[in-house]
Amino acid sequence: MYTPSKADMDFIPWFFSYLTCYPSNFYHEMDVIRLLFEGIILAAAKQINEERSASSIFHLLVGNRNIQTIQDAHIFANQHFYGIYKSLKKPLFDERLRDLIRRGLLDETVNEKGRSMVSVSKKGLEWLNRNQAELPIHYFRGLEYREKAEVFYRRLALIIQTFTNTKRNHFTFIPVIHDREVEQFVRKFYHRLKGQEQEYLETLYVELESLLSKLQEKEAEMFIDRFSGYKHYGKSLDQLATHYNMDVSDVRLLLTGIIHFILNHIEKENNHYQALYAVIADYKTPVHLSYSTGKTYRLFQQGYSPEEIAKLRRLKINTIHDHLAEIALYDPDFPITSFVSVKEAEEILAAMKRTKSFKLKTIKDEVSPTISYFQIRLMLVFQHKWQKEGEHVDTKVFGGGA
Amino acid sequence: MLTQKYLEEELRKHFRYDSFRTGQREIISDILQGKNVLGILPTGSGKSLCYQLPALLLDGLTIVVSPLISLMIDQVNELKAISYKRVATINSFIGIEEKEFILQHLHRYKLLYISPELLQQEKMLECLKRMKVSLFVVDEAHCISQWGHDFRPDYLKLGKIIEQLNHPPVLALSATAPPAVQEDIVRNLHLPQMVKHIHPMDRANLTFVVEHVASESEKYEQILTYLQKISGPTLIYFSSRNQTEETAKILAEKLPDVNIAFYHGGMEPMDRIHIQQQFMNGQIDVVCCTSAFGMGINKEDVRLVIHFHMPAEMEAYIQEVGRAGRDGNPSMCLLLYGPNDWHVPKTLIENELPQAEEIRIVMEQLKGLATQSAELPSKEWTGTIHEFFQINETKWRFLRFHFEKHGMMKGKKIDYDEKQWQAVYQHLVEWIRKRNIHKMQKLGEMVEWVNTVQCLREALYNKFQSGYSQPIFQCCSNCGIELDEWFSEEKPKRVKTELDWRLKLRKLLVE
Ligand SMILES: Nc1ncnc2c1ncn2[C@@H]1O[C@H](COP(=O)(O)OP(=O)(O)OP(=O)(O)O)[C@@H](O)[C@H]1O
Ligand SMILES: [Mg+2]
Ligand SMILES: [Zn+2]
Repeated sequence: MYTPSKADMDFIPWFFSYLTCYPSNFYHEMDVIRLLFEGIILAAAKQINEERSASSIFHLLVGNRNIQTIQDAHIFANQHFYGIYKSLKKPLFDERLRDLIRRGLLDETVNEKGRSMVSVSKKGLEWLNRNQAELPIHYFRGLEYREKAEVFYRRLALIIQTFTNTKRNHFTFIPVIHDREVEQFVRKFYHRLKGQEQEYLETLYVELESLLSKLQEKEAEMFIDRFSGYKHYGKSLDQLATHYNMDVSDVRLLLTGIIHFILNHIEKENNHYQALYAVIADYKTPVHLSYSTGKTYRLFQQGYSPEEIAKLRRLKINTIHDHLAEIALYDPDFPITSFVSVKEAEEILAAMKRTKSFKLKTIKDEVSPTISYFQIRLMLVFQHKWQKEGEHVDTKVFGGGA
Repeated sequence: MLTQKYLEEELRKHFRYDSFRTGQREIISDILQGKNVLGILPTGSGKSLCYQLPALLLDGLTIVVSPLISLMIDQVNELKAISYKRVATINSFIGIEEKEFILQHLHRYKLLYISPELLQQEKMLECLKRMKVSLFVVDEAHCISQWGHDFRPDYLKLGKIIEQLNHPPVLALSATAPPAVQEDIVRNLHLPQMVKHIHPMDRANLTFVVEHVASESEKYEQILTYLQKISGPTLIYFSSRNQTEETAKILAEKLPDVNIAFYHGGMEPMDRIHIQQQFMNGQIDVVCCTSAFGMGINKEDVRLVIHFHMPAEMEAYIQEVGRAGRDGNPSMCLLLYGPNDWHVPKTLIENELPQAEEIRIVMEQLKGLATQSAELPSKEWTGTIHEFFQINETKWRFLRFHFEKHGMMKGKKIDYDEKQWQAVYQHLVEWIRKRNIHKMQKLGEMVEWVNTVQCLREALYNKFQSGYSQPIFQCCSNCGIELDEWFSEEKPKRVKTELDWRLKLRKLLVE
């Protein structure tokens, strides 16, 4: 492990009285974007609504791999926030949470086990309603892109740096990305397009221009400011924060959101965005399954039914169901309809609504005995896909907001 | 065979330099003859070349141990940028897969930078043992000495590792090793027959200035004065991360025409590269940084190095001001000293090694483990074990080293013996006490230097060598300096042309 040098440790509390002497013009152009981090905490908390501890929001944002966190992301329709802030540190999260509580936007209750639960207060809901439209929350697709986005961005950054240099026959630049995988990809990419750097960059310009036009001006500008090119190194997160009068967390989150937004567009209309699509076309998001679940998954993909898999693997059918429930968490194309009929689905959803609960046992007691735990587990994951367009989860399941 | 001409041709071919700098040729030709070499050369004199060139000329692998990850990464980058391709680094920043890849393909490399703690891993050593190691380099070799200013316990194992690698020729390098530390290096590497190349460490182009201030805000006034008088790339050193950020903000407001940024070890890798390269590239003029910056920085024309906080000893100071004037032109080193500034390094010293109470608690816990299973708990025991003991990693590594040395532990096995453990405890506590006293003495020297009324140059270098060369420009604030004679140019007002994002994108991609 790397040991920071002595001088690198923060051990001295410095107090600058003169800091306050400077009139801060930071808040003049109060921009909604600087509230992104808070908005995301509030939006996630609203969904969870005291069903889980406050720190579950932290686990959601950093993208904790444990099954509970992923399942919760589905249950509370927070998938888009999953893993969008991987470098978040707990103390910073706690600080923000405290601040939201102090300002009365979140209400805190402590449960019998001494864990802190939060819910969005009336003031908080008003805050969300007022700002939600302008917060770029809809950019995020965390569960889908948490790994892909990073690979895409790193590759793109290195391609731009490489091509803008090599087209001028300038080969001695310090790459901004150190990552063997990315370097290898870019090397191959470069050899494929050698000599056509200019054409590629021009297409890239057209495509990025078209995509960035869909964003706010400032967002587009910030996204571009971070790239490095010929004899030019992009801005660091802190520099962007200073330049745009934003909080560093917000800068980081916003950039992540923009990357998700872009990725989503180029994947949906890949024939319109061929230069960009080529950067990520080969990439398959790794699925992090346990060894045994992985085996089941491969058989399942080959078309074996759960019963057949149980027989082949000499395992109990319940075990295979456990595996499938785990697979359903990761695989957006999981064929739920082959396991749950529309009628059964509606019955389960109705039970969830009546009991206002996500507990398997409670729901099981409320539905016909023919419905299995396995089916209920799948519905917990897929309930939101079942919702009709435009209808929000809490109105459907709980019949009314918080 | 190793004619002067041959070496110079190789130098030109691989590095495009016309000639060797002082000391380089002698060191290189000794290395090529398979001798063990200790090289002491001033900061910025080109020590890296002393192994980078031989690595290409020798037929096996050259291993370089270096304490700072950023330094390794930079050097690898710089080398790749001049088409020196067969080079790699293994450190805790690179991923498992990358590490695996490098280890599987070791024969592809001529030069491998590695951090000392990773070098200790069994598996790593096994891989390296299978290679022909033609040179083993210990960079910043003063880190091996407990009396040096930057002691790294992991360096103490290097002697053993060299032995396990079957005694390849060794090159130890440092800019700041006074005689006692040189002895320590030779002893700890178990290489009494080392050939020594010791050069004077003074830098004739540096001007030393100490400004005594009454308050922190006076430090700011001083910084503003000097920044206006001396134009050119500037580094400002701090001992706290937070303060690099705060100060960068304050200065930016005061000096809207100067580009100011901060840098510290807590930033993410891509941002560190951005800031470093912006500085190299002239996009930023001033960097407020901790000592994490600098060691890896090899910018020619740094004109001004300011110390907002005083380092804990002279050696550290010499290293840090060593970033200034690497092109040989006059450069200024300004140290700002306030009334209670010595508190800061004092706290550092006291927190560096475990205190008696901490040692006692760890030993207590170990004893508990010994009676239960006689083993350390964790599977990845080099990883998170220090958390188990609730001390920081450096402290744990220090303790582990000593526990192993005294046979209290071997690998995971714990061997409890009340009498012996008691003795080790006494020994460690006493040892740390002595070391802290020594460190406080070093701090005392630093404070004394800051307060001296003699020539600062003389007082600084006399600790290390007899005599020094005459300064090429102004000597020091005690001999008297003339700020107005310094090179300062009216900065062309940076017209902050705010480009529309489409123009920015055009400029980046297609212009
Ligand atoms: N023979 C040479 N001719 C010209 N430039 C050289 C020569 N040798 C080295 N240099 C340059 O000198 C600079 C400083 O070299 P290097 O980083 O090796 O210094 P160093 O002695 O290791 O300093 P430090 O003690 O600060 O680590 C580099 O930019 C290097 O390229
Ligand atoms: Mg060096
Ligand atoms: Zn003098």
